[in-house]
Amino acid sequence: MATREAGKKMIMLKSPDGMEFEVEEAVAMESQTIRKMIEDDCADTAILIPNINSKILSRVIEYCNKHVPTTGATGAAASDTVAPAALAEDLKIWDAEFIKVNRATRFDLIQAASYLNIKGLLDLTSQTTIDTISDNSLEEIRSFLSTKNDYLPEEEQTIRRENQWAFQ
Amino acid sequence: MASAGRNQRRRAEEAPGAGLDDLMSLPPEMLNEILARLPFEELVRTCRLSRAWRRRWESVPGLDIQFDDPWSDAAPDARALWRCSAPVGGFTALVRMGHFHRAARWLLALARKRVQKLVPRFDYPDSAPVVGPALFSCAALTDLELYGYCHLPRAPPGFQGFPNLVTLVLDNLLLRLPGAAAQLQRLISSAPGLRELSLHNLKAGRARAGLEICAIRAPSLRILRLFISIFLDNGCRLAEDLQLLEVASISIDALLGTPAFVDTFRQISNVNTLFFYTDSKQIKGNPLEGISWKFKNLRFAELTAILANSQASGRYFLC
Repeated sequence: MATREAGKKMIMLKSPDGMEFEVEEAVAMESQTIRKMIEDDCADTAILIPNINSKILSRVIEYCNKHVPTTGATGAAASDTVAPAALAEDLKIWDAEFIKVNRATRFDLIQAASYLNIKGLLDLTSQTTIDTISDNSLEEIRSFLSTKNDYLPEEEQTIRRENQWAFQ
Repeated sequence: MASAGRNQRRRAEEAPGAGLDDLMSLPPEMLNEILARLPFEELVRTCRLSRAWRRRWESVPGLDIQFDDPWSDAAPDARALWRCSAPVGGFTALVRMGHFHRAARWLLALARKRVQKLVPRFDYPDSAPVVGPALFSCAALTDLELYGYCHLPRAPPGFQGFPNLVTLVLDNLLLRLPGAAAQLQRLISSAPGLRELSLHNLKAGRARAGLEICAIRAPSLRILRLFISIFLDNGCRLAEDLQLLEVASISIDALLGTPAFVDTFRQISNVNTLFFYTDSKQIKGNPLEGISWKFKNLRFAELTAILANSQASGRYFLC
């Protein structure tokens, strides 16, 4: 395992398209999946992350870098002077910018967050999707999800009647 | 890039033919997690998206269904609850007067769906309904909170209680049936894991009937709220020391001058946080006079007394 600065263990993450990312162990451990691999000692050299291409993996690492707690023994001094509430607000703004991605990227991020078990990222990506469903018309949702409407007009009427209360 | 997202390709190839859109292409458990975040009526409305979506909402497990927005009249059809094919996690509802009859039907469906958390609120003091008897069939309950004005119905013979109950909140509940206090007593003692109990202004007793006692035994209790108005003793009494109790919020003016008053303080003497409220307009003298022992774990206490024309309150941080 590589070590860079004193006290900071580094981990190598590899995407299936051959890219390698060197990240601090603490950052990688934002992923519960990777944390388990490290704790089970399955992560001697490099960890291959299947299913997640380098473009998505680099975004995920960017997210973890931002969200890794900076306090503690090896923590940076940056957060010591900032109030927790201000920090949380800053993260929220950062998250909102981070998730401004195209549709395909967002769904890849959901899958990556789920596979790597990163709760914060899964919450962020899921909630963004939910907000889109909540805030838009039926046609807009279909276009966002690339859903093909295969209902016949009379079927649509039946389904509306079936769940009348939800459409009032 | 060499392998630019297997899943993207899968979507592109399959989506049009198989009716799989971006969300439907996710693994079912992942999609369940996302859909469970939608408010129930919005979740049901996804049935309109396409044929693949028509019944997808029914299989989302552990839904936490909430209809407690005071500005909205929305209320689900009981049939929608029956159509949930997986257990329902929670159901919270502000029950409007026009929906009392529906509430009983919701309970029937929710009991079958093994609901774990049930939080109905009834806000009409002058027309309190009887809670649907299907309540007693909700055997999986871990959290039961009845707010507002409603009558506890009579439990069916052989009712075993709610053995998994962790939180029980009964707020303004009416216990007018003969034997209602004993029924409440059984309900509390049948839940060995009960950690939080709130009995706020329960109204018990009937005209010309003797006081029925509900003896509270809850060995795992951590949080207790007990309010017995000076105007009406509802018969609720602690029956044993609450060894694990951490927080108590009590107002028991109705017991003042009886041994039960001081006993109550002795039984909660392990608390680290104590809120005590007394209406001194009605009582004379110092209500805490008989308490001669120390609360050895106490870290914070707030004592509030209503005096003739004002309110006095003291906060004590004990470190």
